[in-house]
Amino acid sequence: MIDVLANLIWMAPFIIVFLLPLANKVGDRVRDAVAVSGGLISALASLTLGVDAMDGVISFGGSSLKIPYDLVMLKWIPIDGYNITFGVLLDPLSLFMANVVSLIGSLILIYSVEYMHGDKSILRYWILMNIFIGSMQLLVLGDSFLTLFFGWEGVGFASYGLIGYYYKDEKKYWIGPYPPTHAGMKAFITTRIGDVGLLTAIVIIFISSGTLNFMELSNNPEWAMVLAREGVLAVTLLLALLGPIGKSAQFPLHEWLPEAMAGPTTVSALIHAATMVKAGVYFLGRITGILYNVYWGLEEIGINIWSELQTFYIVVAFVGAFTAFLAASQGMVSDQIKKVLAYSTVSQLGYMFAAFGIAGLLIEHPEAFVDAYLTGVFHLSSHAIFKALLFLGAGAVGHAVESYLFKDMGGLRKYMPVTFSLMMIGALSLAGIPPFNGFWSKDAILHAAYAEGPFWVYLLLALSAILTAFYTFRMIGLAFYGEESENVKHLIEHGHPPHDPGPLMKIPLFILAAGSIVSGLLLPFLAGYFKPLFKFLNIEDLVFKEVVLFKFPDFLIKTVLSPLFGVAMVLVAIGIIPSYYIYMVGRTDLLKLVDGPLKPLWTFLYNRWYINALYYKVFVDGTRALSSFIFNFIETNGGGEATKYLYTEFSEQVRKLQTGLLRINMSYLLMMFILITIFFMVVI
Amino acid sequence: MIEYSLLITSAVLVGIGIYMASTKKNLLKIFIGIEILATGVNLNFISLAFIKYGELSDALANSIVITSIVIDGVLVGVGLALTLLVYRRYGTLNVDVLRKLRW
Repeated sequence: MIDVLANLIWMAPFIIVFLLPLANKVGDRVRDAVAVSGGLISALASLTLGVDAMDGVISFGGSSLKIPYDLVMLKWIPIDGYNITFGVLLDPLSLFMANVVSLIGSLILIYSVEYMHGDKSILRYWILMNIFIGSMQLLVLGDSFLTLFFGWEGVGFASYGLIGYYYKDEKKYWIGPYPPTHAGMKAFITTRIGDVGLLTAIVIIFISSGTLNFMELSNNPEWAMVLAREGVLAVTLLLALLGPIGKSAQFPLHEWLPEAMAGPTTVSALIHAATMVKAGVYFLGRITGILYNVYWGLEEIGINIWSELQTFYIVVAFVGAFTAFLAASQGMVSDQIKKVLAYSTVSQLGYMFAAFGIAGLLIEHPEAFVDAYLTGVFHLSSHAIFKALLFLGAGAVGHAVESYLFKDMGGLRKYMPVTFSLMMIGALSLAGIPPFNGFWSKDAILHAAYAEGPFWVYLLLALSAILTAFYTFRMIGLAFYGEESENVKHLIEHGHPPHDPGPLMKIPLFILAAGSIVSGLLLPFLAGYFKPLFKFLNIEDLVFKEVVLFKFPDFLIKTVLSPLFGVAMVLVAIGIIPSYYIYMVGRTDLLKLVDGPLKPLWTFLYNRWYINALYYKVFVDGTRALSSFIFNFIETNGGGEATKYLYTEFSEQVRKLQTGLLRINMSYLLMMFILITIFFMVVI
Repeated sequence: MIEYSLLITSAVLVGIGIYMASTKKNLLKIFIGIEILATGVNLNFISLAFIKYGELSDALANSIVITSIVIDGVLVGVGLALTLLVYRRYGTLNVDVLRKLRW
């Protein structure tokens, strides 16, 4: 029973994919209902198991399993003593992720019913969305690197299809200079670069350990010893890190995410909140959990691999902290509501990477390690909630004013009060203002960074917190405050004033808003939930101690009384106050700063630090130059002519051997036949 | 005795094939001859495996012959297509006329 339920989590969306074409024949309403049910079944199954696993034992339908448990479904590739199995891993991390993915995913699917209503190729949309959620569930539940990689590629495929959903490239779907198909291709190719590294690392790990199973890798740490002795453990891990860097849009492979806005807004919400970019963070969490057990497993037999791990985690922390700052700075000047949110996603993912980096650097101190680790997981969940809220809110705004550009918005507060207040909750959460969930998780990361991490990590993250607060309120200000833009006036004149969306779009927004208020309570609870993931740990030593929710006051007091709380508030205030005066009150005299002395900075940030331009210059133009060189000089002119000439000359000479009589050629064959027969008769 | 009959059958098939391919003038008939030759070779191969093991269970020989048959099938497709094109272009299948390859 448990195995059916566990497999249903990832299989349900895939089954729905096959039912959808049939449901499409029955009717539009049936089709939409069937499509949404894919996410709902998955959510129900994962919720059942996830809640059941709270005490470390899943007991359901008469049987009980102690987590972490590897539910092996079939022998996948049995070769030469290696036994690669296909199964579902039930452990705190995978169940937690499965819940995040399916709950947020279902809300987005419900929202899509109204948002995508009347779209011509909606069947394609539903199929790809279900593949997306199903692949992500396979990714988080898979029990081995190979299963994970299958889900990984499925997610990549579905995101490609959905980002380039408006494949006819109508001008209104363009993001800056890029049409949707181009954006889809960019996402696919950029993440592919990371996947090559990931696959290489998987092969190296397989060669050294003979298994790809997470549980076996974590329980038998000898593979890391083998790699460390050869001095390639850090290299292998860094190769593996390329995968998450590509998927989670971290520097230097972050450039695809801003263009990934080209698809429908629901797709962006799914990519940013639940699937795709969270895959990289999940992978990092998974590998960090394994490395922790491996480290202590090897420590027991007197082998220390700390120096190799340190190299790896310094890079992780740097990539995370730097990306957080880089993307936050770019978010300040964006001219499009979805793009601001995209930059903020990149930035927040940087926070998660930094959290795991700090955790890894603390691997020698189990309690601090788990604290830092949990902040990463915690921020993942709260980001999923508030980012889904913000994206779906932005979708409602875009739906109302038929544009995602800030210059087509303005003054929407009066016309869309519900959307405004719900988005405000998301914005407050993103900016890091208590009591919303974004504050608790971000503050926890800053806490860990300050207390335990390298100081430059804290510095970069704190700077990003200022910028985050600034661009969040700039976004709200430009969209909802100020004068109505020409576009809005035009809509009002034609009798279509911007209005709040209908119930199917509103309900998910309300649920998410409620979620971003209450899910701040999650952190003290996570410590108990994640306990089975780590061996060699005395849970009593944890700061956040037991599962119990009523310990929350302790946590609250601890956070609020800390001096860092004041620092965090000051940081947020530094960000919000200028933003408030410029964009909400409308003190345009401050805007002159942007046109005047800050213009070079603005240009620099607007062009994304010129990293995008550099990539286009080197890789796109480089490839084009190479291919045109090959075409002009090797295929056609020089090389082509030479090849043609040589072949002609050669055949002219060879022709002279021919008589042109097929019979003579056949008699050669007969002669050869006889000769060989005679040869064998003589020899044998 | 069955061993010899198998080998002799395949030898006869190869002989017929080569005879047909070398004496006939019609391209299509030559082509049929080549196919008979290939069948003979396949039969020879599998009967040798049979002789060695006494039963038709040698997976290697079987799989190679199956592969060979598949390739034969492809050969038929390409060959017939070429024959058809030759006929369309030159209006004849007489190989004594089709001597363009000669210098």
